[in-house]
Amino acid sequence: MSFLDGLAALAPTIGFFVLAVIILVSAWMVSHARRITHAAFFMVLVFTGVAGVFVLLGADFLAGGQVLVYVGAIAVMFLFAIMVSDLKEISDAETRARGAGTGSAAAGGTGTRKVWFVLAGLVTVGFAGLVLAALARSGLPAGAVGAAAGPGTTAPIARELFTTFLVPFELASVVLLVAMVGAIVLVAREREEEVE
Amino acid sequence: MDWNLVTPELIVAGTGLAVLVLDLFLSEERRRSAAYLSLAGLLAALVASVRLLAAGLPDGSGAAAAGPGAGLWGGMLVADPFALLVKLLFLGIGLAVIMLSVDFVESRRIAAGEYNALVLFSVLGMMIMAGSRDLIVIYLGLETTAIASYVLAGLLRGDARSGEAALKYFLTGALASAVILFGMSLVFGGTGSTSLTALLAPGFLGLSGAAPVSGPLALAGLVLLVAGFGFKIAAVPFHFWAPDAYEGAPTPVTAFFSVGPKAAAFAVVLRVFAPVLLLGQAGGPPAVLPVLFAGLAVVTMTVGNLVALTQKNIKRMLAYSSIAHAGYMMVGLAVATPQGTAAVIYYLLAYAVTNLGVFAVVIWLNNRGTGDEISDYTGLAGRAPLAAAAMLVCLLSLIGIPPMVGFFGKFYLFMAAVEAGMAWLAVVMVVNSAVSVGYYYGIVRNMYLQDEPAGEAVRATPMVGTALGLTVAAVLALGFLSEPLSHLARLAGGGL
Repeated sequence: MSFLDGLAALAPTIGFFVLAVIILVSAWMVSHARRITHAAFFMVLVFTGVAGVFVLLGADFLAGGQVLVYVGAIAVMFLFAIMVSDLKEISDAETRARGAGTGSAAAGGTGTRKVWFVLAGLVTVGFAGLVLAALARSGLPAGAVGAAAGPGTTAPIARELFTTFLVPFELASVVLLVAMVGAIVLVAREREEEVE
Repeated sequence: MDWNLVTPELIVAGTGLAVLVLDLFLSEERRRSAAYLSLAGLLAALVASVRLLAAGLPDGSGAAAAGPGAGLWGGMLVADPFALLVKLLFLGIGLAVIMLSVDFVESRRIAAGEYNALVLFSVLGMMIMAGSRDLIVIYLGLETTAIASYVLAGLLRGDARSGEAALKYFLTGALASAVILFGMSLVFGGTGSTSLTALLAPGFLGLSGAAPVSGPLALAGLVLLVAGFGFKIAAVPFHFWAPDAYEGAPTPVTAFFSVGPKAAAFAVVLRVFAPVLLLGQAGGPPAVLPVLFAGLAVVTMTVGNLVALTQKNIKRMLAYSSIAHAGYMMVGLAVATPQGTAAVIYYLLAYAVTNLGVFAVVIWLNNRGTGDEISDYTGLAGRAPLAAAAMLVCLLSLIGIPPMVGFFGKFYLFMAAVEAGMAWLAVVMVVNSAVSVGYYYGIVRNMYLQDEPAGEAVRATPMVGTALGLTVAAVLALGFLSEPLSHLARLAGGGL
């Protein structure tokens, strides 16, 4: 086996790690970007990276759905919300929320924040280790991973969705209906009061 | 496929849609019709559930007798005695909450059509959660209930605390949903199936001597599920959202939160964990789950009761009280026996009717301008003797004094713990019940033993009065009927 063949065989693994780094760095930037629009665009990058992982797994339909729904609809929704709410920097919101805090209180705040930060990091690393250990000790049942790398998953997914998973499919529409009614009742009623 | 088995769900869903449409054609003065239509729909669904339960019970024939995994659409929906019994409870809760909220909704100018529709959809989600053996369907039911609940919490738009309640409930609820989904995905990864029956397959979780096929992974998933549902039932240390959400939400909605979504989450926990726990009992591991539940039970009831002692606001106090009761119920899970499971089911019924009774009194007084502070209840026996008496009955039931239904709830949990050799847990429970007397008695003392310059008499509206009468009657009657009811609970628990 030549070097190039070996590289070709490794390509999915290399691709996965490249995507993983992109996703993790972007996710970090989502929560640490100073400007909220930047955070939103890094979120788009996270969504795109996840779509790439789906492609590597041979899940073409999911990858397309991920791009259409998350990159297309949800990210645009976020940008609209940012535009409407007129918040440019995340620190704006923080200073507004804190009001006129005294200097010593702010210093104490950063101290406790560091403690929480370290705690959260420890919990994250610990939990990730736990899941990795569990993964290593578990023989995954066939079919759970690396399934259906064949050409095109759209038809099988459609078949499953409208046979085995018909009940969840219909229930999802109930969830969406409730969410819509809820959103309308929370927002529209306010307008009614304004008129009065 | 027998459509007959899902008639209760279909009726509730249809009524919810009908209420939304009807609301468009109602004039401002006739908004109450939305509530009447909702009550009619819930009653019809209740009758349908009773008929299904009665048809399935006696000889174990019919759909109810179908084995694990059977049901509609391959276990996507099931109508076993457990599902039907808790569905009766949920429908009862829905009826009581809508009756309690009619006057409240009217006086606070809440949109009546949407309010009633959201309560109906929330109840529908609870019924679906309890009546499924599939993780995806359970999650969708959960989300239906949750989304409706977030909106219900924030319906008092002019009140900043209502908005705070909705936002806190939404953020913690979304976090809990994420944790639950992560747990479900690990279980799916470990078993290769979204069906709960896959959890019980031989070899899973390292049971029955076989090599652990996917045990650790699925176990990690189950622990995440415990944490996620811990949020939903407000178990310590996942409880911090509950007092704020309960205090800020419109009071009838608080009544709903304290029994509805909580009972539904417990139903799912029973559905998912009771069979696993029983298997664990027979085969040794996974020993970590009972220990986990025992720890959660002790911490939850102790923290709930101790913090409740210091509360001045009755809604906050009832929030901590409901946390403590979730702790008692987890004792029934920790013992990992069929008796424990049956005791949890019985306690769910007992707690729900009693707490609804307490809230009925709070709403009665709230509608008449009485505040939500415990000191506002001073001299209530003089102003509203019936309200005070009803409150007394319900508080005695919450403490666990015979012959109220709450006593039997605690009694069965206690016996289950002793029989399973976990007497220490039973002792912790009794000590906690003794602590709880402290804050429940505070209300009783204010109502009966403090003199207050006699105020005006406060009368209940017909709807609230009827709801209160029914719940107090249930608190007393279910106490006397504890034997047949616990038999039913055992039967329901046995079919899990």
